[in-house]
Amino acid sequence: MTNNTVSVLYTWGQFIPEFALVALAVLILMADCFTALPKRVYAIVAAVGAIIGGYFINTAPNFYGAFGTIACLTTALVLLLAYDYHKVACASIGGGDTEDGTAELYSLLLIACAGICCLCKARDIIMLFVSLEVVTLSSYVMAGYFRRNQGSIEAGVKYLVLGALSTGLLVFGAAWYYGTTGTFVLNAGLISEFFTRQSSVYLTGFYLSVGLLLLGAFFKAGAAPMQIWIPDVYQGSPTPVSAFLAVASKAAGFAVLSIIIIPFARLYPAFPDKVGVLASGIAVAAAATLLVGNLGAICQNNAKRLLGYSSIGQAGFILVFFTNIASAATVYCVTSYLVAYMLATVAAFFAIAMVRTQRGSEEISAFRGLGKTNPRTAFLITVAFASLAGVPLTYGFLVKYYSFEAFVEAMQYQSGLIWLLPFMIVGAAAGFYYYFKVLREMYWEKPQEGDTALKVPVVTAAVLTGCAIAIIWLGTEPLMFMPAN
Amino acid sequence: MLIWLIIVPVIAAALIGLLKMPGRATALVSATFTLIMGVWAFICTTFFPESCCIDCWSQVGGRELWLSLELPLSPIMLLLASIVTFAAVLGLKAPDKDAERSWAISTLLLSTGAIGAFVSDNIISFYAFHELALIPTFVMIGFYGRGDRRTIAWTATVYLGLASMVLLVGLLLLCNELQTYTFTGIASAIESGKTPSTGLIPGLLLAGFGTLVSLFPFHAWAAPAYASAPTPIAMLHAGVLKKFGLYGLFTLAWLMGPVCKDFFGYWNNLLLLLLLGNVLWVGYVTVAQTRLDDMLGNSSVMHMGYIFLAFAVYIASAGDNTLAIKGAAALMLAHGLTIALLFLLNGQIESQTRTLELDSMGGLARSLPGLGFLFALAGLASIGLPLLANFVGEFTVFVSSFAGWQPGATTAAAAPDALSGITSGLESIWLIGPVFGWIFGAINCALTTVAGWFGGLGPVQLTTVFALWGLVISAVYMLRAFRRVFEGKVGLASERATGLTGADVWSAIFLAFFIVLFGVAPILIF
Repeated sequence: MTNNTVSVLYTWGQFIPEFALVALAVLILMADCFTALPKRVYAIVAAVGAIIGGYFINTAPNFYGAFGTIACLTTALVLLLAYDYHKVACASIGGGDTEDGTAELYSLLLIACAGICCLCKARDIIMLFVSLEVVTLSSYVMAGYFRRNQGSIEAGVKYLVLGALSTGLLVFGAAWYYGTTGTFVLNAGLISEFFTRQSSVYLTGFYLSVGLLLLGAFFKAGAAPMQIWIPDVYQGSPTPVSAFLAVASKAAGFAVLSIIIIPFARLYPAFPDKVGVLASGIAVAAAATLLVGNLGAICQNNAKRLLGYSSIGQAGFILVFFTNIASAATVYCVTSYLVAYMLATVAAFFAIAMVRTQRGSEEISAFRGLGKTNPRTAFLITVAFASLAGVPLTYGFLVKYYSFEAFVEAMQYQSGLIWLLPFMIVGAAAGFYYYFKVLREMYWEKPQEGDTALKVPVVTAAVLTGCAIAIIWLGTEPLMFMPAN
Repeated sequence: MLIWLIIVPVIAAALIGLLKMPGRATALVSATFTLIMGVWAFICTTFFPESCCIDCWSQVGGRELWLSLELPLSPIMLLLASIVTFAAVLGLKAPDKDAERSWAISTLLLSTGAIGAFVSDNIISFYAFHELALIPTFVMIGFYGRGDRRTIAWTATVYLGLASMVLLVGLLLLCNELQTYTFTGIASAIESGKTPSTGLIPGLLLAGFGTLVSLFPFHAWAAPAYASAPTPIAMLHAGVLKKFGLYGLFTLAWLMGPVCKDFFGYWNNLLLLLLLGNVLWVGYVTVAQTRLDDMLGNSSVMHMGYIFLAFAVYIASAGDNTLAIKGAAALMLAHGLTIALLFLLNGQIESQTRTLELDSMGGLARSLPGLGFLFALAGLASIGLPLLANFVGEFTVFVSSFAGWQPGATTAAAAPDALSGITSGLESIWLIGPVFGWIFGAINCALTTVAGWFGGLGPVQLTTVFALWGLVISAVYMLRAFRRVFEGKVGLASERATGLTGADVWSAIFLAFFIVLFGVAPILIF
């Protein structure tokens, strides 16, 4: 959080966690070839590896590493989800009961995770681009991984085509950046020098380059106007992969966004106009994202698609942090929001996977009557969706409140942004409507004939409970107790 | 200490929900604890403020809490919440065992949310607790409500969800301006000379809090929701939780002291018109109801007008008129107890006659004289009969609006509550500024002109005169309802009445006791 503007040189030693993750991924591939262990074991091994890797990620000196930690934790949870989802995976990959071809998914997840961790250490556009491509390329494969499932294939192709477009924009932006500034390095000192020295012709090119880079980041983060792929890909992809795309990949997007935007933070006092343009641009994107995500979610009936639109809506609230462009706490707020989003979204995907495995449907209506048949599980799912909706005393409320607070702070020096407020209010209120659709299905509907109680797998039960406890504890503690000093 | 008021009911709810403990019995243990704590806290802070250790209440295990009883209205609202919670749990009567568990959980959570809001010092947790209490309301109306329950639940959710967001923004803007996030912090910020900007912020606060209290014209959600909600939920929401908005407004105004006139003043004349909408418009709507539950729901909305009147008086006097805030506190307590009792009896009448249509009942007092007596008591209290709690509140509010006013001594323009010199702060906003300026100019002009015809009555006094007509309206609908349910020929539905159980009777008597107690000894709450 400190020292956002100075670019940092990392030593090779600091990349050990990333290399270890990749090494583990390769090891799993090899073991898969040469030993006859049951494939589900690899999921557990990989999950443990991801947690250990996440623990050693260095978040100093600018806190960007926190994005990597979030990614590692998500990857571990997603691997656990894949462990529970194994049966569906077998049927959709090899067909029948054969386990062939399931272990590669686990190593791909690890590689993508390593890519995100590297991304956080990027100090120039080249490294940014290369790390991002590691994530993106693994994601293309994973989205289309269930090759016997038409939806998955469609998701893979759509993601590939639109992803290639965004990569193109990113590269184009990088070229313009190099052309106008003469360097690939993103840092405040250089930009400051550039602002004072260059004529307006260069300035236009510079804005163009930043805009293109932002579009590339928006694609990953799922923000308008680059959000089009999200609902289809989330719905079609294997559920663990959807969870990964929804959380880890989004964290990568916001890591990129932070790396591009934060260098401008300290420049606001010196160049209020030139930096303010950037804030206005992000505000427009945030408003569009809030509108598209939250209004689009209202009419969804498929739970994964609903979470897709919800992820767009949540991205809108995260973007609001970046409109508070002079703030020094942006990265801290964004990562807090991502943690809250991760806890709730991963829990929601666990619930969807469980319902899909046992009731064969991913529609919201498949949750019917859970309040009667599985009251405890229904309560844990309620906590997750309540947190997404921003019900108070959950962590989801607190981070949404941070978002409003950031907006209020931004208003102090850019009062022109007031028009963003109605979008935020409508977005937050709409969230109550569409997330509660799941709760309504669980509590208001009676179970249909033949609906038996779901058998909750141990891993799912543990993760749901852990997420619920974390959501409530993180959400209540700051409101109940004074800070120590 | 105060944190146990939150932890104990939550644990009780968890025990009922997760370990399948018996619903009503477990909730009763928790509600008894809450009642003891609430009454003790009230006695302690009201009668022995010197020897009462405020720090003991706001600390636990050496850690400081964002909870306290330092705000003037906190103890009395805590008292109200704990009494109504106890009565609601005691009289809880669900259709079956499963339902009893979910009713008990919702009742506990709803009351915890309300209590948490009333004892919060941190403004965000004040807001958060109230929001939390809305969830059980929503679920319970949707699942166990009467009539078109899902539409009603969704309507309430959309209204309250939007209102909460507007309120949150208002609170955040205020906190950000004063650079503090606690109520006590606001007081010290005002003391050190900071002034909050007018116009937008108080407007957002009034709109947000107002919708939550069902201020006209944002009241459409309230009456159907109360009419539809299961008995304990209706009792707690109409009786306790709804007071959240008024509590918030009065607390902010009290903390701001003299500054409150500059802050809220711009909106005061509009508020006067709207509260007349509550008293008169909704009053006549109430008269037209044909079901008992609809009538009670609307009457609850109507009575909010009087408390808003007290607020307007308090603002117009720039925080000078302590009678207004005392009257409002007494009226909030009294109305909470009365409406809770009325909804409790409403539920018992329904379980006896299996209908709430006023036309199909009648003569119920013959088979159930005790029920008839209690309903008459609650109804008369609601009208404002002396020696019952509501009279104390209403009388004080009406009197307070004339405090400092002398007949003929002032002209309308120079009345103590004239609002000359207060600017909106909205002029600069495109489109909104001019439109608001025009509307407010018209309202102020109209009020001043009408006030001029009445020999120097200011807008506030004028509104009070009109609001007094609401007493007549209350009498009409309440006495008519009593006649149609309890007197006359024995209706078809009334023949089904079998008799009340002990718990039914005791929970009603418990509430009635407090209504009489605060009526004959108002000194307890002043």
